[in-house]
Amino acid sequence: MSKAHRLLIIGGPNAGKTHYVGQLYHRLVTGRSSYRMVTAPADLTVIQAVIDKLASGLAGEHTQSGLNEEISFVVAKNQTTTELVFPDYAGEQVRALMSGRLVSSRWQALISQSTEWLLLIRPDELPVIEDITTRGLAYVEDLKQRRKNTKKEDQSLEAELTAPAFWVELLQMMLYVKRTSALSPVEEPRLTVALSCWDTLGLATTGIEPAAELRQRLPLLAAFLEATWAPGAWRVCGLSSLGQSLDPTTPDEDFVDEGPEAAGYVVLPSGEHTPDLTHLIAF
Amino acid sequence: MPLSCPIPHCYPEDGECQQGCRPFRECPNLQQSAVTDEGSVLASEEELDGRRVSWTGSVLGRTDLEPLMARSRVLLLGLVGMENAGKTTFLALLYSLLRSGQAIPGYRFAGSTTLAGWELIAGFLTFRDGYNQITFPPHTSRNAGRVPGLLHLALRDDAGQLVDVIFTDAPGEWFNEWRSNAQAAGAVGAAWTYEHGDGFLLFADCEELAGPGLQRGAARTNIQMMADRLVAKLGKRPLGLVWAKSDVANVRPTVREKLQRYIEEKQPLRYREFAVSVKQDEAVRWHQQVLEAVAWLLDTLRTEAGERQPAVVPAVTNDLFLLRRSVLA
Repeated sequence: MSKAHRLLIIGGPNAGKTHYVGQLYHRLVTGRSSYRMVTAPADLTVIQAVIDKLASGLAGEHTQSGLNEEISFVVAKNQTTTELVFPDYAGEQVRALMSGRLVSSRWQALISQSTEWLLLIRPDELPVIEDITTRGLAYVEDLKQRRKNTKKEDQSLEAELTAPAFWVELLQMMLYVKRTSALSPVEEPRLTVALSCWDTLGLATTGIEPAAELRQRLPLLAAFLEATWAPGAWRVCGLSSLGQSLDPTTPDEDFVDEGPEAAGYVVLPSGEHTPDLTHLIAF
Repeated sequence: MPLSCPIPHCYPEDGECQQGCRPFRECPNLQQSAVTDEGSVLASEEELDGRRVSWTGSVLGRTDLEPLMARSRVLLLGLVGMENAGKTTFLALLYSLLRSGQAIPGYRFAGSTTLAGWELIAGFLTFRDGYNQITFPPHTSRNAGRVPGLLHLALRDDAGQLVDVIFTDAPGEWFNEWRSNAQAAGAVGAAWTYEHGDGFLLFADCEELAGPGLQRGAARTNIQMMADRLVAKLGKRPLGLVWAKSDVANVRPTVREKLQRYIEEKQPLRYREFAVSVKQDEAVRWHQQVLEAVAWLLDTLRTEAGERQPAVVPAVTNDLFLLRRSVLA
């Protein structure tokens, strides 16, 4: 019997969502994946720009804030069909969602209809939190000197959440909208956290478990996930959509020769690398 | 134009109707007054698309507790002490520790509806851009209301059961008035904390207790009076004594010993002491004792005769009729 899934792809600012979906599309149409395309997207406008850029060996552009396009395609593996829904929004919109604790009706529909979530987090841009638990009070003495040169307004307090609290809050809000009880561990929606731009982390090419990376870089989020989701219902992967960094203006000649469909990899929970980007779709 | 609503606990300035009227502007109960009261919040003219989640992230008030109380037994932990004794710093340190990956022994972090509130107080102990100097959280204002600012943590114990914990972040002046007159007008919040609290942490300021004669004596008397009030109707509720600012050299050990003996002679049923400080010392483990203090309160509250109560097997079903709480949550 076939089973229908709906995967919602979400990510913060600059997490590489559009690159991933563009690359995923390449893999599916060239048949280099364990999934096959069932229904191609009727309207490719959203990712067309990225597809073109990648084909020329250039990095895609940042999604404009205010664009509210959606792209969805249906893929299948054996008897399981999955509908991928990728709301193409600028990552800033996720921040706006958080600041008002207001979930728009469009987001509500996307969240409540999905059965699986793919959350893209870019770890290399996470600011390191330095507080007394990580630096110790001795550090204060060094800072006193430096502080004399800082302007007054730089010291104002922001109520904005730090990265770990931001991701916990986002997931809490999504679970609330999906009406998922927190009393028992979450079985549905199943969750894949993908640490994007894995190639920029400077890690060994094999054997590094993405879950350990998450625990090290976002311990609060890791603790929240372990305490909230049922053990088999969530996992952490690594993702490098392009396998390397591309420049927005100067084409990378080798990348053009090989073709974008040959670039990029997924780091499985075991630490193993695979070029099949569709591994993030389901587990 | 300011909005008001005669229904209790309906706050139209948030742009939402408690009774679910949509569009919100057409709610028959909604009243608009031309007079702008001082301090009233103007509602935005735009109709909001979508809905808000049931929390704001900031510290909770008393009505905000209801959604939490609907899902589990909420444990209210009262932090009691004079102003500047280190109550808020204790909470800031607790959150900073959780954020950096340390855990309350036996309990895993499972979310919070007051993340912005935690971040705000922890922000004082955080270096921003590696530049600013950290400061201790400032004084908690007594004008904050009659109910202390409440900070929430959802925790999951080793058996998989969800525990909702609320910490009170109340101004020290409340307790100062309460210690001399339990019915004082300014002590309503302190009395509320004592009546509803499930467990308490009494803060003793080591800096004051090692200070000059006048200061030292007054601090000791104040703490003793507060301990008297706390023990009076304590019953089985656990009481922890927190030696805050433990890094300050104990130049007058007699004062602390006397205070210790004074409380022990009151014979609180469930009593323990903790030494904490923002400074870390590997030998005394001041940071870990913050986490242990919370774990001890929770363990004591949730156990009978030293044994943890058996976990309630959560109802797992997709039938909405059977899973009432899931609908509410």
